[in-house]
Formats: sequence, C-alpha cells, structure tokens
Amino acid sequence: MNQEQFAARITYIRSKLYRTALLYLGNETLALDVVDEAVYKALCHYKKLRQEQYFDTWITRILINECHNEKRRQKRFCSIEELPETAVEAFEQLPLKEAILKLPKELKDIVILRYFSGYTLVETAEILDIPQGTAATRQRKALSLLRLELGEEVSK
Amino acid sequence: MSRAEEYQALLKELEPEAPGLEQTYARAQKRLRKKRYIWKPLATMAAAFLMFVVLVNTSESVAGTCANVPFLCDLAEAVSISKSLTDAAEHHYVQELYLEQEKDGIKATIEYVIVDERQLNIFYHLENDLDKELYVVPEIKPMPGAAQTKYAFYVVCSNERGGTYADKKEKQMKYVTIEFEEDTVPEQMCLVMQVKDAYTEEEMALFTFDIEIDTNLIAKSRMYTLNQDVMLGEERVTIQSVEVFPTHVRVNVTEHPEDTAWLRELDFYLENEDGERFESSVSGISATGSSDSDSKSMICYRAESPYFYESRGLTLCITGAKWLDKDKEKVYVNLAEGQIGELPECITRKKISKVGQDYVVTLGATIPEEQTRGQILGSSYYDKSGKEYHIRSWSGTTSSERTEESGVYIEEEVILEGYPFDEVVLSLNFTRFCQMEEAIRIQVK
Repeated sequence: MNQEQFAARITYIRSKLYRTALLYLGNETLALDVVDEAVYKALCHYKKLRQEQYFDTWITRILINECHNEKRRQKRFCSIEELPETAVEAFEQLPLKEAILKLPKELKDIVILRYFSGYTLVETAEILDIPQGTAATRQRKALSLLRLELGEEVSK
Repeated sequence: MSRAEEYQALLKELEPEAPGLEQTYARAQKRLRKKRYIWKPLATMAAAFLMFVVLVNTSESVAGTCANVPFLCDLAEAVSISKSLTDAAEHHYVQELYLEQEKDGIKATIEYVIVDERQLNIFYHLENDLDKELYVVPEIKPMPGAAQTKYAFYVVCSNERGGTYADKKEKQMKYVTIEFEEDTVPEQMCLVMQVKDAYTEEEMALFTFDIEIDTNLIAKSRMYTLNQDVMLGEERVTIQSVEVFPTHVRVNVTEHPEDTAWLRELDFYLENEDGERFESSVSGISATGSSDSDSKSMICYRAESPYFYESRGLTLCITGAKWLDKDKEKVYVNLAEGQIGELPECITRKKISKVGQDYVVTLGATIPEEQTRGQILGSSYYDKSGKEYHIRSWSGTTSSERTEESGVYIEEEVILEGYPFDEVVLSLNFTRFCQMEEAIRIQVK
C-alpha cells in the first residue's frame, strides 16, 4: 500500500470511524479528535501492515483503543458509570443511546461495531481479537439487555 | 417510541459527517511531518551554533570515581549509544541521586549523573498515565545568590528512534547532556524540567529539582596544547589544543581572518598507540560556534574520550572539512515562480511548492560519505526587508547509493510556515568540502 492508496482508504472509511467514535464518546469534538489520532497512528505504521485486506479492521482496532483511552481520560474528570449485566431493568428504562453507553465495555464494543459501524460478526471478532463464538455470545447478551431485536444481517 | 424506532433514529443521528472530518488525512500528514521535524534538528545539533557564556563556580577538582554504584541495566542501555559514557559507567564514574517528584499524573525520577568539569549528564525516567508522548525541555537555574549560568543542552533518548520523546508506557531511562563552556560544572544548581506533549507542545508539568554534585568525585581533565597550523583545502586553521575529559574530548580550533570561508565541520578522529580510534561525536553536542557573533565557524569539536584507556600516545587525524563561503552563504528564491538564485556546485534545486499557507522548499546535495551530518539549509531565512524568520523543522533523506562523484546524495525539505511573501532569502549551511587523500596527523601526546 502506498500513501495514495492509504489516503483513498481513509476517505472510504472515515465516516464509519467517526460514527463509531461518536457513539463511544457521545461528543462530536472528541470523536473527531479520536479519529484524527487513529488516522495519524495508522499513517505512522501502515507500512508494517502485512495484509492490506485487514486495513479496515486494523484501523478500527486502533480507533477503539483510542476511544477507550479517551474514556479513561474522561473518567478522571467525570465518571460515566457502566451498569452491570444484572441491571436488566435499569437498561430497559434508559433511552437506547444512554443504555449503550452504560453497557459493560465488552458488550458495548460488540453492539457499536455490529449495529452502528456495520461490521460483520467475523470482522467484529477480528477487530476485538476474540473468537467468533465469544463475539456471538456477547452480541446476544447485549441485544437482550438493550431489548433490541435485530437480525444477523445488518448491512454495512 | 419502540426500541426499533429508537435504533433507526440513532442511526440517523449518527449519519451527518462532522465538519472537518474530510481533513483528517491532511492533518495526520502534517503531524507526521512535524514529528519528523521536531527531532531531526535536535539529532543534528552539530550544525547549530551554541552560545555559551560564563558559569559561576570554580572549584578544585580531584580525580575520583564513585565506587559502589552498580552498573545497572537501564543505565547501561541508556549510555549504549555513547562510547565515552559507556566507558565512564563501566569504570563506575557515576554519582547516584535518586530524586523523585510526581505532578499532574507524571512522575519524574532522576537517578544518576555522570559529570566532569564541563559536562553534566543527568539520567532520568519519565512516566505518565496520560497515554501521551512527552518530551523534556531542561533549564539550569543557579541556586539563590549564585550568578546565572549559560549552557547548552541536548536531550538523548537511547531507543532506536533516536528522538527526544518519552515513550508512553515504557519506563525507559533517558538523559540530558548539559555542557558548560568556559568554567566548571557548578556544585549546586536547579534543574527545571518542563515536560511537554510531543504533538501539541502543551506544557504538561513543570518539575524543579535541586541538584547537588559531589565535586570531590569529578575527575580532572587533561589539556594538550598544540598550536599547529593546517591547510584544509585552500583555507588555513590552527589546531589550538585538545582537552580530554572523562565524558568527551574537545578539539579547539582558531580560524584566520584571511580565510574566505567559515569552517562548518571538521572531520577527524583520535587514535592511540594501539590503533584504537575515538571518533568525532555524531550525536549530541558535536561542535560549538565562535563567541564572535559575526563568525559562522564552528571552533570547538567533540569526540569520544580515551580518558579511561590510559593510552601512552594519542594522535589527532584530520580527514576533511566542510566550508561555507562567506560570499555565498545566502541564496535568493522566488517562491511564486519556483526560481532559485545561484547555488554552489554541490547543491541542487529539487522542488518549490505551496502547501496551504506554507511554502515547501526541497534541495538536494551530493556530499562526501563522511560528511552527511547537518542540514543543507541554515535555520534562518529572511524576507526582502531583511526581517529574520526561523525554520522550525527539517526533513531529510539520504540515498544509500553513492553517486558518480563518489559522494552521497541527500535531499532536504523545509517548510516556511505561514510565510506571507513570494520572495525569500535562504541561508546555507555549507557550500563546499575538502577531503584529505591522507589524514593530517598531529601528535597530541
């Protein structure tokens, strides 16, 4: 991959990255900052990427790491409490956006990548570096907590 | 609203692209360029003029070593890029300090110093839980009642990138080298460490450490007066003296008024009676300029030190020099038309372009293989009225292939950030070279 191809890939994926970050962070400015950071890090290291076909999952993984870092930073200033998986009623009562933000991290990752960023289950498992079976289990659990009934086939 | 409707509404809410998102790649490119530029000039500080003034304290130095300091792994790693400091550490020429401060999520620890009469190397760790890349700008302040001192500093990172950044998570030891020109290292001083975000340059923390040196443990330097004239091509210089310190060697040169060029670089090495070489410094502070502000010559050159070798004989071997012709140090450029004035034979114009608000100038040069240090362009440039501007960053590439002229081709790109005019005067760092067929050998001892 050369720099021109890298630029083209970014043009193609930037909206998806931004959507993902926006849902993670709930703030447009922070989301844009995190996308900038991820694109910058990808630009620094893309030549080390051995298989180009994994570019999208690779950069999304960078983005998610950056989102988690940003969340950790935010926690220093204001606490965004996650709810435990047992707080079924609390999840039901919350608006969807808020409920997603309060999901335990592992479940939130799955929901955002699968149903908002548009990745398949296979890609989501790759991004999160977990077995597909684990991804499927977490997906079921998250949807159940959110009382959201979505099919397996969500288009990108 | 059902959950399904909420989901659809949320998807719609996320649809619009944020203003500025389309520039994300451009911003990343600019940042990458800037990152390269930040450390590149530091790594080649040899070319910079470092001005020194006077330091306060003078004290009787007694040769000595700090015994009982274990040669720790992290110290060994930190000094591995310097033969002199490795030798010093292996000979336990290290003083322990162990000073620690924590502020704003950043912990700074100073563990050791390797110090002689003129050079202070402070070894520190920087840790942070902010997940940021940080770098340190050090400042030496006198203790209350003492006079202000002047010094030059160089921050060294021993990792492979060779830059000045602290890696985010690694607890890697780094060091800052502080050199004092005309007097000895003071016994007490304040080290102010300004910790900055490597990208935004925002100050993240400010630490002030009181440093106390045990001057009884400072080894005395050895001075060898030479006063020998040598011809380096068409120009004459006098090799005045060689000073041997535990941490470095200084070769002092005097220029002559009749010279038509300034001496920008001296290529040399020292050799002992066993044929062991002590190379001139390629990183850190490798040369300093004249105190005469009209001169652009570098007159004090650094090399690795043979201090711990107990050599019976020592020879200075000069192999070449880099010159800047006094009447060719500036070159006029018409940025709008991409035209450049007369360049010296060894330098070529590659590209002049405008990127956003910045002009980007790329020059190439064919230079002797041994003289690839330093930049083609000086740090200052001027508009038509003579107003001075500064290049903040250089980016360079060196071709691994030798050219037909038996040299190495290098290319250098500089950015004239936000420069508002179409015409500019750039300053050059060198205009010609001289290479000895056989090294000029001067016996030091």
